[in-house]
Amino acid sequence: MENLGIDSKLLIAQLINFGLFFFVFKKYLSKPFLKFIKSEKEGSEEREKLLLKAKSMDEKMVEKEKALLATMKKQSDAQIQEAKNAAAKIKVQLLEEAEKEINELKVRAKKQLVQEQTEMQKDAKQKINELSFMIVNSVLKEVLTTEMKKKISDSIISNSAKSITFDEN
Amino acid sequence: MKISSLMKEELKKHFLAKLKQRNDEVTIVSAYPLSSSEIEGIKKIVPDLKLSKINNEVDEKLIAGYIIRKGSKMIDLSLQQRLAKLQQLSHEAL
Repeated sequence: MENLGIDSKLLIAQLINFGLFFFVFKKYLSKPFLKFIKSEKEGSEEREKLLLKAKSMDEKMVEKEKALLATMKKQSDAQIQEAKNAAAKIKVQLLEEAEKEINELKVRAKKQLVQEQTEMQKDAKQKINELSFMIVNSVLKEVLTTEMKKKISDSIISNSAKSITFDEN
Repeated sequence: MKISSLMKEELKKHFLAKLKQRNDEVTIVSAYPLSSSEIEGIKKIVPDLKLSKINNEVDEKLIAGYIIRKGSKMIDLSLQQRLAKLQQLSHEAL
């Protein structure tokens, strides 16, 4: 063995050393070490479980948030649509009212125009009437000679002979 | 101040005489001066004028015809009045 470079004493000493180490390790260190490893392992598993749970909760929360967002979007879309419909309805109503008002104004204006036209025509006729009589009066005054006036006077008094009565002044 | 009954009587007589005189007087308004024959012609047509004193006034506005005034009474036979009546009728017809 010496030829192979192995020192038997050293080997024995190392074996004893190993044996002592094994004995001490098994007797005093292995249990707490194993316990520590076990507790570490359990802790790790627990953390993993918690992590998984948290992940799952997170996913659930994300899903819930997504669902909530979707619901909110749906609701807001519905509200926007409802507002649009209401606005369209109000627009149509306002347009109808404006059209109705315009028509009423048109009718009223037309009526007023006709009335004013009638009044103007009546006024014009009366003015023409007055003017005609003024012209007749002035022409008669200018044109009639005394002889003609006498004839007219005779004619008036002869025609009125039966109906001549005195009126109170 | 009191008025005596005699004075009252005198005043009454005076005013009645004035009224009678006024009622007896007739004014014929015409567009031209009337001759006596024309006045007589009018008297024939209007019997109320036979016993009255006739005055003649000229108003060219009448155009033709006459206005006869006796006291507070009046007969309008003027062409101007006829035209005014015609104008009134025409005005009402419009």
